[in-house]
Amino acid sequence: MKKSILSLASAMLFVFATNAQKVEFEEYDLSNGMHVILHKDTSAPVVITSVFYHVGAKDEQPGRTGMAHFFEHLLFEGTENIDKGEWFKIVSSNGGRNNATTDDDRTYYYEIFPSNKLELGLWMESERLLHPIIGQDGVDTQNEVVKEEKRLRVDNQPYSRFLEYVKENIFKKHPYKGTTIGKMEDLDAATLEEFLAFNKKFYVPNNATLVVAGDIDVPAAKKMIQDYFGPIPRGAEVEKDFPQEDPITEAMTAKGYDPNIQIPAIMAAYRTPSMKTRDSRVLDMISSYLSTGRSSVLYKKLVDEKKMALQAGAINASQEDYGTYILYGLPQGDTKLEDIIAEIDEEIVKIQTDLISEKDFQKLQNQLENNFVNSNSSVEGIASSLATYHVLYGDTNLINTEIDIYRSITREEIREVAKKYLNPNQRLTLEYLPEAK
Amino acid sequence: MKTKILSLVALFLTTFAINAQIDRSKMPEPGPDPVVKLGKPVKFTLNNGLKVIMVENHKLPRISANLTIDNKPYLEGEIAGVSGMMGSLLGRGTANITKDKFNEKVDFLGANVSFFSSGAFASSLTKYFPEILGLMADGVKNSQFTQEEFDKERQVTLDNLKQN
Repeated sequence: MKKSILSLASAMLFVFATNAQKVEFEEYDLSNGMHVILHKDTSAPVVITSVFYHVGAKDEQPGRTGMAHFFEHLLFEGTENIDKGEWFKIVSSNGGRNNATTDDDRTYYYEIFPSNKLELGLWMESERLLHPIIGQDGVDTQNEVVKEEKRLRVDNQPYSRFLEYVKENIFKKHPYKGTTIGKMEDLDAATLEEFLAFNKKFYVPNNATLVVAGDIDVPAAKKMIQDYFGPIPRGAEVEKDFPQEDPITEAMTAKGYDPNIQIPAIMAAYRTPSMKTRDSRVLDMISSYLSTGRSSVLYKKLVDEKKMALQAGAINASQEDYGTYILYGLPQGDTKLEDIIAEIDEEIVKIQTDLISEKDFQKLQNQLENNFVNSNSSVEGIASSLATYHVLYGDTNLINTEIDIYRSITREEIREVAKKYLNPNQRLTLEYLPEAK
Repeated sequence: MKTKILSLVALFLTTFAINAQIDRSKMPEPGPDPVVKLGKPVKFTLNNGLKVIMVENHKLPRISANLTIDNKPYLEGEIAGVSGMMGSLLGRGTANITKDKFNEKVDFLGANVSFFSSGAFASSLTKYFPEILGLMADGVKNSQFTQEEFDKERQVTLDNLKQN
């Protein structure tokens, strides 16, 4: 009898163990304050080396929007031991891939190489941190490159300016009021001295997290990391002290224009709390409920059944300090913008009044769980998640446990959070309209 | 005396460690070429002749299945495109489940099931895999080729041709 109970218990344990996700990792600090995260996965003979700097567009000085992204470009210009123009050649001639991305909160650089070239990746990233060459000719070159990127990705891209309009209205004090790409005049005004000061302030090991993931020998990797990054001197502590926003208590309206569109759009944007909060995760669930897939509430109602909108949905743009929750619709035919908002509001009121059905709730959980598991399917994705969870969320192990937070969210909480944040007096209504060219 | 010598050795060793710095001016040499290490698959054949290959990987709680029908190449001739259309019609309602119910179930479980002329693919969370594998098998074996779906698919195919 005892035996059968035991084996039943072990069978249950087994089931539990196979269902829990376990991304193994090891983390520690170098003496200069650089945080290191190692993840071993031998399934493919590749290795990723990446460095996550806790600096983004929100760290820019007033009147210097776009500086963080501009600076990211400068860090491909060369180092004391890597000549100008050589960076990309070294990567591709060694069978690698690389890139970098900047957003409001952070800047992330990475290379992926065959696993026997781990040392090369570490050398390159340590060169970039230790002694990049930042000169006037690099600033001049990248000024044009960055401006062209802005024209290509934002200015000439239909429906890409709404974020600028939303942010400048939703944020009054916090630097989230600017965009990552920045303004043309700010990009032109940035001086070499300012870039050098930016480097000195933010590009220090104590503001950086190194991730090495893939087919690695851990003790050998640790030694190489110490060799290449250990001697880099620690910098001054980076203080993060951003102004707090006052709550939005009265409805705001604004109009924004885009010369690249013919069909207008209507948006309702709300300021929501940091992505670290439970409420932000509840809002993620509300977004999925409203707009993920063809069976979602807004799509089914506005696009499929009533044929009032070409497109409708919800975006939870969550960030380190605040989030922006945006509901939107593009009218079909003669539908008026305010009619779309009225229909969307009706659905919000339903969420605020009634519990969503058990079945929809279960579907939501299944979708979230599936997304969560798949987001860790590549070593590249894991490396970026590990760094993000450590730096922005303060807990690397969320890579394994964040799903438990989502799983513990109840239908009642969905209703409460909708009541707390998604009210007409807490939002901006933006009419996003075509502008004659 | 002995301790002195020892500490001297230790001192020497630390100095050595400090001096053994890497040469940053040279690009590091790569190590020996890595080899691809694939896990050992389990292979077996069902009574009906279907060959099965299984590879275990427990890193993530998800499973995928890929079915490949080893069709020999053949000339479609006067009915070119027939195999592509056949593949598109798989899974649009079977003897056991309607098309809408089928799609709803897959959506509900947050899974993926797709069919094509030479096979099928399914992926899902581990806990829902038996159900999803069942839906994939049902679609492959019991699909109903209705006139309605056929007409719809023919129209879509023609529109696609015009677009290209």
